[in-house]
Amino acid sequence: MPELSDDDALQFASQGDREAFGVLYERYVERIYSYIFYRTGNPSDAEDLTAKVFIRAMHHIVNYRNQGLPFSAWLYRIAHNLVANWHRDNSRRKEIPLDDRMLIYFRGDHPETALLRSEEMERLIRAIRQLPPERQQLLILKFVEHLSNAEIGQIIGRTEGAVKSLYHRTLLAMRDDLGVVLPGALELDDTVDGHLSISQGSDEIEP
Amino acid sequence: MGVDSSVNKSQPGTQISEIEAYLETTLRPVVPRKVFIEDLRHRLDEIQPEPASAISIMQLTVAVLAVGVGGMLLFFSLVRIMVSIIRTIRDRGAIE
Repeated sequence: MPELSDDDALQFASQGDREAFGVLYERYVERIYSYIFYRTGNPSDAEDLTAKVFIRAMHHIVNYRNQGLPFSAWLYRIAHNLVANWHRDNSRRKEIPLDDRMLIYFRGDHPETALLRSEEMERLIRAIRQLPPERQQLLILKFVEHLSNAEIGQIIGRTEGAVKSLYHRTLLAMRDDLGVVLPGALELDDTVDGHLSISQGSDEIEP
Repeated sequence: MGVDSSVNKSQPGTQISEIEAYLETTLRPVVPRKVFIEDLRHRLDEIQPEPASAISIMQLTVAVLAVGVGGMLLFFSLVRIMVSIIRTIRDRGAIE
């Protein structure tokens, strides 16, 4: 089953094959979680919204019509809509500072190094979250998911050229937001498989 | 945390590439808790997909009913207006 292409898995899943949906789930759950985490900045909300994305996908998989969009684009669009609703629902509530609720650790880090990386990451997430939603989406899809401009265009409903232009303007905005203070001392190559793990509190540092 | 204060704002091209490099090295995929992935997988196994035909038939029924009722209301309103106009004209003719 895991060697199934997305299209084949989708076809089986739309006919009620749970195992096929499971293949798609395993393939995309981390990417969707990662995307939502960067949009919300909160691991528990990221888990909650990730669950909603897949539950919604599961409910509507039988209605999925292949209109040339890859399955991943459909999932990202569901995620984008849920994140937009989440922001709207939380707009009146005062935002909790990131420092009070989460620490981000690179696997294999010494706790002190992990804390520094965590602070750096939080500063960057704050800067990203100052941007309009479409630009946030673009940066995350580009740098976290490593999607091409064409793939990003499919997800956000723009042409490849428009994505390229938006990307350049977004980098200019990031340059202004981050100013001249660019952390350069932390070398990130010593992380295990280049992934981050999230911990709420300070007692869950991974070895 | 190290700070590279050597970035020169008068070189916008350089800064863009530095921002790009910074984002590339700092933004990494975030891994959810394994227990979360497993729990969600179990939850999904218990969910029944909504049948496609049931939704479309229900929507179609509601749409047909709405159009039918709306059309009938419009038709009877027009008839009433026509009748009242004809009566008014006839009454005026009788008075004259």
